[in-house]
Amino acid sequence: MTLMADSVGVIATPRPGPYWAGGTATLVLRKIVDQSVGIRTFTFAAPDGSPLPAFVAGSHLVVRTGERTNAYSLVSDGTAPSEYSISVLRVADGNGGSRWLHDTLTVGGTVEVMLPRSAFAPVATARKHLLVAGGIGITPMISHLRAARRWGRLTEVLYVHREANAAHLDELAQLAEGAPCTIETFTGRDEFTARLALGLRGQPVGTHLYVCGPSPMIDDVVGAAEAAGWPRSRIHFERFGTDALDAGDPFRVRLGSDGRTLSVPSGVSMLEALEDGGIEVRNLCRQGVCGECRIPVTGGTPLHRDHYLSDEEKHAGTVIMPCVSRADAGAILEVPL
Amino acid sequence: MTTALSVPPIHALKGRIAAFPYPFPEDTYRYSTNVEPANTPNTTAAGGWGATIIDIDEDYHAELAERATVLAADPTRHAVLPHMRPAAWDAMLTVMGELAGAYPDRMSLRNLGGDVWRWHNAILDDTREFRYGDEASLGQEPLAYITTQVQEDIALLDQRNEQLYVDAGVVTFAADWSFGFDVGMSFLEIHGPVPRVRRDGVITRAHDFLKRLQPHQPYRRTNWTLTIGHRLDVSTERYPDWGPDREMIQSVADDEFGRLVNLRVEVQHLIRLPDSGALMFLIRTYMLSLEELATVEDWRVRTAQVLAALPDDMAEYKGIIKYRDRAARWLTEAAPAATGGHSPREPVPGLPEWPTVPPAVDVTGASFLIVSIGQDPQTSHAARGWVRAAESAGPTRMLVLDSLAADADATALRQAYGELRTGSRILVTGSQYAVMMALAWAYDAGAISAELTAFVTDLGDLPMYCAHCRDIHRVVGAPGGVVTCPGCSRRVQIHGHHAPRLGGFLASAAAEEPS
Repeated sequence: MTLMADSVGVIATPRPGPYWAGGTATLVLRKIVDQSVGIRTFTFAAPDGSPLPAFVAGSHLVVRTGERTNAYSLVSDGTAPSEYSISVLRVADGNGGSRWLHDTLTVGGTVEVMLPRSAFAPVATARKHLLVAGGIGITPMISHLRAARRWGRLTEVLYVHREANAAHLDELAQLAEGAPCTIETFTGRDEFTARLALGLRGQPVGTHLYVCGPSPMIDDVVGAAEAAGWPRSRIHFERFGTDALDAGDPFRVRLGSDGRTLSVPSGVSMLEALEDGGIEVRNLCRQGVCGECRIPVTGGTPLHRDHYLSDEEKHAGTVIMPCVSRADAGAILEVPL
Repeated sequence: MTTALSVPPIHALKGRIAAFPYPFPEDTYRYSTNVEPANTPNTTAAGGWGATIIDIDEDYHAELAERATVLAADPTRHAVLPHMRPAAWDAMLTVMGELAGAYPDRMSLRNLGGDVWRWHNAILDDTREFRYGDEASLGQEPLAYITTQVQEDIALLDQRNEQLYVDAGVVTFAADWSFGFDVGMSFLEIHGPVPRVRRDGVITRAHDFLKRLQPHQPYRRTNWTLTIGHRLDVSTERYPDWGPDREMIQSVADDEFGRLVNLRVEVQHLIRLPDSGALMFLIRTYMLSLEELATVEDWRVRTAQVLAALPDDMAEYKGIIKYRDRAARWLTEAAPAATGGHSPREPVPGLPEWPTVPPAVDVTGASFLIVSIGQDPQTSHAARGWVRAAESAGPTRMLVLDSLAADADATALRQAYGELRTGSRILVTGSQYAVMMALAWAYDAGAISAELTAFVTDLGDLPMYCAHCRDIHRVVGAPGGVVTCPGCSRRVQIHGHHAPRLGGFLASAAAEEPS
């Protein structure tokens, strides 16, 4: 939609206009802010400054970063926004997305993004929200805290980070000030683990837990919560899209169209194997985040490794995200392609 | 038709007929998840519909006035559970944005900086300046306000633990359901009584589809039934007013029948709200009498075929079985027809399934509260068994109560719930009434199903929600039975439709007994 500034104000159209045809748009980088060593916040806006589609707290933005497509948590305010901000840790040995943002993109440059996607939303009925973040995993918690502050939600934050890698500390303090929110930060792992164990046993009934950070840290926190009697449905976590997955075991894929069987060696994705076999599959991020390459499975048991499908769908085993998911060693998956 | 009504050319058809969202693309109708992207115009034999999400038509003032009357008489048509405040604001702003986009010459929404907005509706000459999230600045609850601006009913669904719950709404034009009863229920529970859908998996597929909806990608679907008279509010609460029409209609003259019987179509928009993440259902009701419908030849023929082919269980569920055959014949030919066969209204099975032996204690819990209600020896036996198992797994507290009808016992239970920490498990045993109330209060205290275990030792009583006095009562009876409501003394039938949040079964005025 168009922006029409006049003496009264901006005519707001919270719905995405034709500019977002196909669910993607080109945005301009307006600002770069250094958070700490290796972490920068990038702020994007529409070229004409018009309003952007709103997003739910905890949403991520899929950004085309040079050759790659990566998902980053939004750290700005999702209510009637005119900017989208993401905070990105430069990962030297990652897939190149963070290096492109840090080293190549400059203010005034453009990126292609998809509509923000909600996959880590606050639970509206929660009596209290316990947010546990490790390192750059603080990013989705920032937008959670913005929503919590707006709606007066009772919140407790435990944030563990390396001394030099702290991000958004000033913002955290501002968001907590005068709000029903406490924030504790830790730079030592033992100190954090002890505090977490205590925190998990003292929450009022009706509390929900949100965890974001490196995979081993998420596993530890989820394990500690389960040991403290927390049902699985009170525990919510988001893994980084940039986590490297292991190469996986070799397996095979049988095609429904012509009965051919394709081999998927270790280190090659099922999506790549299908493409090599001449099968076209729509895809975008190729890391189990965007949902674009979802295909049906008619036989065999998938080994799900994506961040897109719900637990229910993973359990049903009738769809798979072939960009990251596989099957056990020697198994055969049947797909109607 | 006995009258020489000719079919006017399409371009001559105006207003409600041309804009009617005719719902049958095929000659038979089955429940299906017939969803399509919103904002795409549909062409019909008489015109078209669907270019915008919100539709304002010539009935705008009349329908808004009717909604105000319904709400004034019955406040339970408007509910916003406390956790839905953000969703209600999100819904209001989203609907305002849709209105401003669809009717830019009459509606506008301007951001005055930060969270401050100005809304103007030139049709109603209504202007509001408000701060997002601040009820005082708007002057009223946002969902209540926005439903004074649109003809659509609104229901808001919260998504949690892989389920959708109808936790807020303003629904004044319900077609044979009770919003006041359903609020707080899950999508799957609400659709429990719909025939075929469980077996065919349609509701589960719809549920999966809705859970996956993302913001800014709205969808829509249509739903239909028949309604006697141009009556928008055919809610369960008003059954005493409209229920008897189903008998009356069978004996009216033929021309009267064609004027009175309406094809009722709901256009439902399904929208993931972009700020709160809640799901918004916009439900807009359109009605066209058979007489009007028959002016469009294609509609006359197709509607007759759909009605004739509709299976009995679906006609029963829609509440039209007593006159749908006549409606089909009316449309097919002009000849008067005999009344349709009489079928009794069967209660739909919908009892909660209770285990026959006390379920095992979930020993993954960190601590346990065991609640034993009543004197039944089976109850105390089950409770003692749970205590033995729980004590080896963690700190265990047992609470023995006589009856939840006693204030002191009710207070003791609510207090015990309030002291629990996350990680606890709650186990309750007693009569069906006691267990269902104890579970409802546990939900109210913030517990979720994974933390609850129940064992019913006596099925003789149950909690009943009366749609007319709108309260929960303990009654001795079973779904399908007719009892006297302890609150309002009406004879009411208990339906196999159960709301875990209220803890009760729905009951409404019993059909007239044969004389």
